[in-house]
Amino acid sequence: MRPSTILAIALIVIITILLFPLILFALEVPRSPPIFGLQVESDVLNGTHALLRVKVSYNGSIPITNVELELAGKVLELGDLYAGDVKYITTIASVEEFSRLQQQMAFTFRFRVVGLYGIEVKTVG
Amino acid sequence: MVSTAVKTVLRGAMGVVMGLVYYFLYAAALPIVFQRIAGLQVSVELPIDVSVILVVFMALGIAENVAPAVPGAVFRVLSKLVGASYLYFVANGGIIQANIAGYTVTLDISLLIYIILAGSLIVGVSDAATYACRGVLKE
Repeated sequence: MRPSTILAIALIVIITILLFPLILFALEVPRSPPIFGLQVESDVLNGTHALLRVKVSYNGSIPITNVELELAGKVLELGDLYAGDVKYITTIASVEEFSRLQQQMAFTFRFRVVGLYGIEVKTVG
Repeated sequence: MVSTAVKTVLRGAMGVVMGLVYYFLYAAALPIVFQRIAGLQVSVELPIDVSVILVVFMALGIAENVAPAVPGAVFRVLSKLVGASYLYFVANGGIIQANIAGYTVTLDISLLIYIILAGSLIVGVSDAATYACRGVLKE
């Protein structure tokens, strides 16, 4: 076999291997229970600020890296998530941001599948 | 004893098959993967009409198989380059956006697209080099 044919086959094999985690992740997304869980609890601290307790859970089997949650004007870094991980983060939000959050749960959720493929989920509106 | 005319026709037929392979690998495969895995109706912006790109790939496939040593080698690189750059533009450089269930979802597969592009060039150049050297040595 010509060397270029061997290279072509090697390239196709490499690409298929690289696509695997992304395809597995995409297959897990529509399944229930939901692959991601997000819960926000709040306590009003004083006249100007509120305390937000954020709980993020991950149910998929493919590791997720560089996880970031943008909420109420703050960027929360959650690191890496593995199957069954639940992480808690507390942050302080101003009262204006807090009331906006109560009206409409707006957030941006960013992560990378196995550190290779970036995904960003943003609420509309 | 097979005459050269028949050999050329056979190589041309091989070229048409190669054109279909290129079309499948570069134009059809990735959109199919995306539509199958998530059932996503991702609006893929096709820069060129599907039939045009199919004809282009088939023409390149025929050219790279029928043309003699050095011009054939040029087409061997061109077919991979045309294919990989077409894929790059269809995939929008690897950044794909869609609206799903009230969320705006952005998927970044630029690393994958880059690997396909770089790999295609490596395969294409090595293919061209072997084809050119073998053809020149025969003459």
